[in-house]
Amino acid sequence: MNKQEHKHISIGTCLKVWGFIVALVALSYVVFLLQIEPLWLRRVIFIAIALLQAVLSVTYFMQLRAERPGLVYAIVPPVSLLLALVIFGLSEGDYVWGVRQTHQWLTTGKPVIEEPDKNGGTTNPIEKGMQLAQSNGCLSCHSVTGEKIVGPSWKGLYGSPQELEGGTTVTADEAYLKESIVNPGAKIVKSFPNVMPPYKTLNEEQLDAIIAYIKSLSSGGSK
Amino acid sequence: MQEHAAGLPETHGHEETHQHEPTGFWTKYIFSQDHKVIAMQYTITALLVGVVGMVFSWLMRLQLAFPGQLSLIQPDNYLQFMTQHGMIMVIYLLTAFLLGGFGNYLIPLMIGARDMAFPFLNMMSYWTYFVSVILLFAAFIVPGGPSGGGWTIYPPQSILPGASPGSEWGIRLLLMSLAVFVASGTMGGLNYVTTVLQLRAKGMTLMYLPLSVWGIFVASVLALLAFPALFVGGVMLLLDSLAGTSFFIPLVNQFGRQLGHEGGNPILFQHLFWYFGHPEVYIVILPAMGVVSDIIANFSRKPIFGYKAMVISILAIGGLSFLVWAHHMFVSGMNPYFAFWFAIATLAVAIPSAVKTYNWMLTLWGGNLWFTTPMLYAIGFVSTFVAGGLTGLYLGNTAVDVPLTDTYFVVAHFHLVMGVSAILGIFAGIYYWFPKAIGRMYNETLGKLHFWVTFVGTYAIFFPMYWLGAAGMPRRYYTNEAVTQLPPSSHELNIFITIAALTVGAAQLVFAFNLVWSIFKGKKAEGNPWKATSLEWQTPQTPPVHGNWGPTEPVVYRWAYDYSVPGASQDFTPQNVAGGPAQKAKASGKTKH
Amino acid sequence: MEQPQQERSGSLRRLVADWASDRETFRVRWSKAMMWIFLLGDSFVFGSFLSAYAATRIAATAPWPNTGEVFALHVGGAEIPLLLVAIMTLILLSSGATMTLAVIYGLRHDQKRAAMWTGLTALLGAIFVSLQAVEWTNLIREGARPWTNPWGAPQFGANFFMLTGFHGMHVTIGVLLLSIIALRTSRGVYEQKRDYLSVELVGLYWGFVDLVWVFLFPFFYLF
Repeated sequence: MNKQEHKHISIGTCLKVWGFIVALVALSYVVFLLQIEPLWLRRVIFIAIALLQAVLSVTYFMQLRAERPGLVYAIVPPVSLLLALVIFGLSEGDYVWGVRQTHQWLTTGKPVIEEPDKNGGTTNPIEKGMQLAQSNGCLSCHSVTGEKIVGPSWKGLYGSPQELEGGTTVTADEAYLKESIVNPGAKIVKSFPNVMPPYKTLNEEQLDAIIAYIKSLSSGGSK
Repeated sequence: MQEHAAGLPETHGHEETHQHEPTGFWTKYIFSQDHKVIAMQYTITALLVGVVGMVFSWLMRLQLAFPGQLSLIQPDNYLQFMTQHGMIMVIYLLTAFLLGGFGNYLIPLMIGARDMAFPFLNMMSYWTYFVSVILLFAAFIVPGGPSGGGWTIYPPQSILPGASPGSEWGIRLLLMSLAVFVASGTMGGLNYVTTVLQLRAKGMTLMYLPLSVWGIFVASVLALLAFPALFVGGVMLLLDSLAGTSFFIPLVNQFGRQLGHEGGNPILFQHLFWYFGHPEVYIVILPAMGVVSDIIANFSRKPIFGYKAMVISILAIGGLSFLVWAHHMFVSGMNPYFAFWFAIATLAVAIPSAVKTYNWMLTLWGGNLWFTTPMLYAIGFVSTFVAGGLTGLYLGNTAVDVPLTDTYFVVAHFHLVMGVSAILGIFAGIYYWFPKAIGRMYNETLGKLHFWVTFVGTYAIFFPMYWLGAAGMPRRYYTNEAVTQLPPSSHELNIFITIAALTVGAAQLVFAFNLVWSIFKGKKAEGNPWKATSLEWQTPQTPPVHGNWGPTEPVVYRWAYDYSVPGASQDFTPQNVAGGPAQKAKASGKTKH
Repeated sequence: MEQPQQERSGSLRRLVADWASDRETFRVRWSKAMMWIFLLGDSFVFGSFLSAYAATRIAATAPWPNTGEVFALHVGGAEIPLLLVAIMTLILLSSGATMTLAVIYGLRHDQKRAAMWTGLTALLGAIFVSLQAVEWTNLIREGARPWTNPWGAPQFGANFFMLTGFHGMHVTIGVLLLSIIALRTSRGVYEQKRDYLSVELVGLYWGFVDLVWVFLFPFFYLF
């Protein structure tokens, strides 16, 4: 019809671009399969491929090149700025992660955020118990230093005699600890309120790990 | 360019298929696709919702002046009133009114179009807004009542059970309402932007547009680019609340029990919220700025001073609004290096704002001032904008902001600069266009009474809050009994503020009476009572009928500010008058070769 | 024709002319202008989603799952990582090309071919959504939920369901629109009007849906 019409892409171009995009998808998949090291290089390749695909797709599939510059310059710059937004999200998340890491390191001396390991965490029961005690919030009421917060401190707890409400005394052995985690209201240590919620979701293995951790905090326990 | 003219198969106005005026009651007044009727629907709904928001502010003020005296206001209710007051005023009143009300009414009339580009979408936009209002009020009848998590609805406290009132169904309904509002705002925004860009009259270039249209246009663009962040934040918060995801909620121990969340990032919500929230502030202030510019130029009988600078300032404020959001978060615990950048960008906003203020002053300077009610409101806008805006420089500086955060200093700042200013701009616009929209004049005496009580009253309310805030009065507190650093005299000041607030509230009855009385009994208005130049005053009928322009669309020959042109036969030359002397030579960028 | 030098200055002049003109800024049909502006706004929705994903992923306290293992497909006893997703990507990006062909034929008023390619695009889109449903089912069967998953950080499941869910919703809406328009094209509705604008509009929308996936694929699956 006229020049405007002329600028629409031809079928040949469309097919070429199609082939190119398929090749780019295949390339990024191969780069993923080969797990090219280092990681940052792999990611740079992915981003470069994505940007190239995006440019092709907008220019040819959405036919932005057929539009007048008035429209092109109104659409492209704001959309490109979105990448800046993603980078902002990354840097903000990175900062939060750093704060968490520092906080954990200051309070426990260990980084909580382990490097990704494929077995899903540690196998040492004491270590695991410590993580469970943290993640289940035990340590917000039970100190490991001997200080009394809400519940009895775990320091030196294992194997020590506990005076209960009602006058009887029990020894804090494994059976007692297990019962007190799963059903805390059964035996209440004197002068402590009955406020602990029952932790019924923990499985046997997790309970053992927590108890192993409690044991480790006591001189009578196995080191 | 010729190739292009041939490239377009149709002439201007080609896509119009709605020339036939609807006749039935339902299609004419309820499910109308006429931009003027939709504007009225938006206006009325937003004002009614605003009344609810105003009542909430009285209840809060009553509690602060007479703590514990009213059994109606318990701590939980106080937080709910506060939250709903903020949400209602910012989103459901100001945004809806300025974009939905003024935008719908003014854009087609001012640019010389017969209607919006997509009338059906326009109707859908209003009814979607209506649904969002219903969802907003539905929160009042669910168990727990509406959300009381603060208008910023920060997680975790806004969605954790028991952490704030209405943190279960109240907040969920609020989030759904916001999502629906975003849909409505997007439909409206698409319409406004497309209409301004594509439907202008012959001769109407962008640089001939009245500043009202510029303000609404840039605000609509901001709405289109900022609402998505609110939508995303809202969806994620809703998922955290309903589906138990952990986007925003970190590991939380509530009463010794670990909640089912882990590793979320609460500051992310603040980023998303303010990425929307800061542009939102300009979404409400830019249209008001535009309206005020037009009114000041008209009633000074002078061309607006520095039209190009005004347009560039509007664009600059719009652009900067996306780069300053984290100045709301200086104490949130975000990366401290961000504060540096965001403080600088924030202070840069002062430049275009000051340019606009100077231009308003210089337009007034030496003008033939005509103190009608809209003019008084427009000058009032400039005054409160300065009084509120200057303290933005304090709060934009990180070091000064830290001690002032969450005090009444902040409350005073944002109420004056975007609450009161936007409302004064709205009142200016209502009085200014009332004769055109209704066909009758309002009562000038009542209007002036309304202005003086409102203007002096809002200063009496918000200016003392600066002192209270500087003295350390925290915001959002039900009672200040425990705030020991406050001097006892601050309580007397609180009583004074409450009395002023109730007085200003009562003055709005004068406004309501004036409107209703004038609609039925007002003096018949001429087509152009203010002797204004812009196109909306040149319609063949007053009020304009369906299609706006009669058989021929207007043709524009000049900008909207040809007031007091030397040598002209009268002191204004409408935009659609050809020939004769002009203030501004025709723009150099010729459009047709 | 003009020299390249003049062409370039011509483009700038046309940019200025577009924005300085009366009546219309973008010299396109109203609905096409609106579609571009809508897509600009919608790109900010996905930009915000991606930014939020970046921030939550990097700040997560638990290790991020290995996507290669999570999305592996069993083929003949071997586990091929990400195979299903790679196939989905190829299908969706190819559908961008088929849609472009439909638009080209629409502009040439070739009713039959336009209808055929639009229909094919709808079919490819439907296959994509179905494969996504298969992927969701697999993951849910293996224990992935929005609030937890067996492989690591709970944000993984949350982001996965949210991002692919929103994109999938867009694809589903697109498939519906494409089917309607393919049907109307084949019935000659647009031929009668001598106007294939609807095909162009849905083509723009479909291009955008593609574009989002161009970024979702590397950022969520490959990274």
